[in-house]
Amino acid sequence: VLATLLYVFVLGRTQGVAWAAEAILAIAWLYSVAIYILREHPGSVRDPARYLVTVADGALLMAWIAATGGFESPFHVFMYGMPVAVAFEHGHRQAVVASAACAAAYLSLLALLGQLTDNAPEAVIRAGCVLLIGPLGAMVTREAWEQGKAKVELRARATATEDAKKQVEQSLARLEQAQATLQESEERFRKIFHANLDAVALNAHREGWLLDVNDEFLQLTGFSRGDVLGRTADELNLWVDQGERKAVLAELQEHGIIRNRECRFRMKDGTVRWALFSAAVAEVGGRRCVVSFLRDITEREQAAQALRESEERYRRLVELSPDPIVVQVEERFAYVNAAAATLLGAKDPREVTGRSIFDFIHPDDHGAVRERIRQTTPERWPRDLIEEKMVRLDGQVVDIEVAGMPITYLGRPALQLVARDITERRRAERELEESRRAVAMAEKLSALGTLVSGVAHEIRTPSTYVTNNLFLLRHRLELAAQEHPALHDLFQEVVGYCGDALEGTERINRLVQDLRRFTRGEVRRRVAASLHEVAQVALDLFRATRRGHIELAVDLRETVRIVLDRGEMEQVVLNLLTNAADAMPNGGTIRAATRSAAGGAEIEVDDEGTGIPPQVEARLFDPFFTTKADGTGLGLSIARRIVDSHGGTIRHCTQPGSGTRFTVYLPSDASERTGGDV
Amino acid sequence: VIKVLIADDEPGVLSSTSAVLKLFGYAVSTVSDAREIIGILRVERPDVLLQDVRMPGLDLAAHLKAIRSDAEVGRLPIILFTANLDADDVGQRLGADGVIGKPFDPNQLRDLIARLVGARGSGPNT
Repeated sequence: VLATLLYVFVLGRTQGVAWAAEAILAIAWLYSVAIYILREHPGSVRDPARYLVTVADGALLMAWIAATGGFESPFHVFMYGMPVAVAFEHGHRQAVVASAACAAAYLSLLALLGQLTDNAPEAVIRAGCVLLIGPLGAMVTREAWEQGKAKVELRARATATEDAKKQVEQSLARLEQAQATLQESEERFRKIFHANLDAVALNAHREGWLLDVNDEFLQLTGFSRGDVLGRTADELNLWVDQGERKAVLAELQEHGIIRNRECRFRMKDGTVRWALFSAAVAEVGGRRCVVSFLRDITEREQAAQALRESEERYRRLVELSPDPIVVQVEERFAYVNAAAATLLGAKDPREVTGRSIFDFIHPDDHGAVRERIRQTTPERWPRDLIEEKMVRLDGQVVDIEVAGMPITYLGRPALQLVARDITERRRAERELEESRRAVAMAEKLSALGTLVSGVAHEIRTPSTYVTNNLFLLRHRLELAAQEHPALHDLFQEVVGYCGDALEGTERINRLVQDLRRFTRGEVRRRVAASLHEVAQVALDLFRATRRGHIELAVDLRETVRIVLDRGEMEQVVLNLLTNAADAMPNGGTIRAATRSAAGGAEIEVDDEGTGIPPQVEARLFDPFFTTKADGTGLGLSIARRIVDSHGGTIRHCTQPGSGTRFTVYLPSDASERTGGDV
Repeated sequence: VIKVLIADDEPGVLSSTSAVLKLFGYAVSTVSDAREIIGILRVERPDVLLQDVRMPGLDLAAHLKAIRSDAEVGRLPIILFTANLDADDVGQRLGADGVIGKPFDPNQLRDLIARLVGARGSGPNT
């Protein structure tokens, strides 16, 4: 409208009417196109009728312009066009008003421009034309519009009727098919219903009446068909737990289906059975129903329950067991109970779970344990207890006894071990053994002491007159030798024999004294002497008494002087030499050596003998323990006691088959310990 | 001459020991019955008694006590003569003057007798 007005005033005055007509034609086209585009955008133009009208406005205007061959002025276009447009838009009444307004506006404009007085009659005729054209044009065009519209609608209705007819035919065909399918489906349903291995029941959806049940249902519940048909589950008292029933119904209501819910049902005889309950809402025979399936799982449930209880019992038994119990998988702890954790020195079983069992088994027992594991198969395993030492987390060693058997743990082959801490028992056993030995030893020593005391007296008495007589004999022979020079050599020889005999009695005497001293534990007087001197005397004695193929390799080096009991130390060396010789029944070489050692001196006696077997080694220094047929079992025992009393040590090193070496060490400050006993 | 009385029940010990002591120049008499000892002491008045500690019928403690309490022979040096290894301190306790073991070193016995008799000084019998 604004654009039209602009042309009316600007172009109309300057270029003339023909130009104005073309311009308006163009605007009308643009207007139509704009409307068309806007139609493509829903929401911009809401009412299709209204824009059609507006397009028609433009078309009519164009037709008008074409028919009249242009207008004298744009006012005419406006005047003739406006009423028609308004008529299309709003109806005849408005078109009349618009025509009147346009005519009035035309006349007013002419009057304003001062042209009314020039052509007054023509102006009035034109105004009157405007008044007529609006309503007439509107009536004519609107009538035609309405008619066209009605015709189109009629045609559309005819087409719709045709379509509807076709649809009805198709529906009928489908319905027939559906009915056939339904029959088939119901047949299938019936078969499934009755041939099902589960108990199946069909309830009316709303009322809950049982409409049908299969034989399995009857068999399971113990009801007869007559008992159940037309009754509700409630009336039959089927549900054990009403809360459960409500929950199931609510879910069925919501989802239309429920699957494999474990529920309990009461049978006719009152027993309660577990069943997997499934149900669905379905249309059966044109009626809304609930189909329920019950699978009896009582046995399974009972077995599962029994298993759970059994597992619980086992778990409690193991967890609360005062005996340590572990499960080992591939030589690692897979499970450790509290008692076992305590045994291993852990506060919590988790500290040791997952660790290798060999972290805790004493290295001495690794071999035995591996062998034991090797012997254990799922079919056969050793039933007896194995004793082994374990090393706790804190490093303490405990004695245990273990029984094991193969099990399956979390699906893997495993060993279940039950252990018992026998450290205390072991200690008690050891102590008992030691005390037994000590008692036995004390008894032996006591008996020996009595024996020695008695025997000593009996030996020393005849020994007295042997000694005395030898003394007299030697004395007389010495005198005789002086008196009879011819027989001097002979007498001197016999004097020598007497001397030897006296020496022998002296040794008998000393032996008796030593034996007595051993049984009483006496200490004799000590003097400062050198070990090599002591060794020399012992070696001389040994040489004088020893027979057989024994070679001596002697390497005596001068040593520091040590306060010692010469007789006793000679005895020690002599005992070692005697043992060395006894270890070599087929002869050999004994090496004897003395030397200074740190803070004292050492004497070493080395043989090439049979060596000491381990079982003998442990008891080597026990009194009265001997492996010799004629041994007293006192030699090393006395030697050890003597060396101990000197504050020294006696040690040995043996190699079965190649010999033994004994080393006696004496500290040089022994005098301080004996308190100036020199 | 120093007189020694040897009291012992073993003939072998008696004969050999008296021979040894005689060799050293002592006058030796012997007794083998314990009951006779006191009587012989009184009669013979030896300078030293070499007394075996174990004789049949001998209560050593009572015996020594009896000798010591005797007015005439009470001061007699007594040497206990023993084959018992445990007699060393027993001798001292019972009031003997010395102990000599069996068997003995003859020279040692001679020295002991010499010491005891010398210590006694001029006894009634010297």
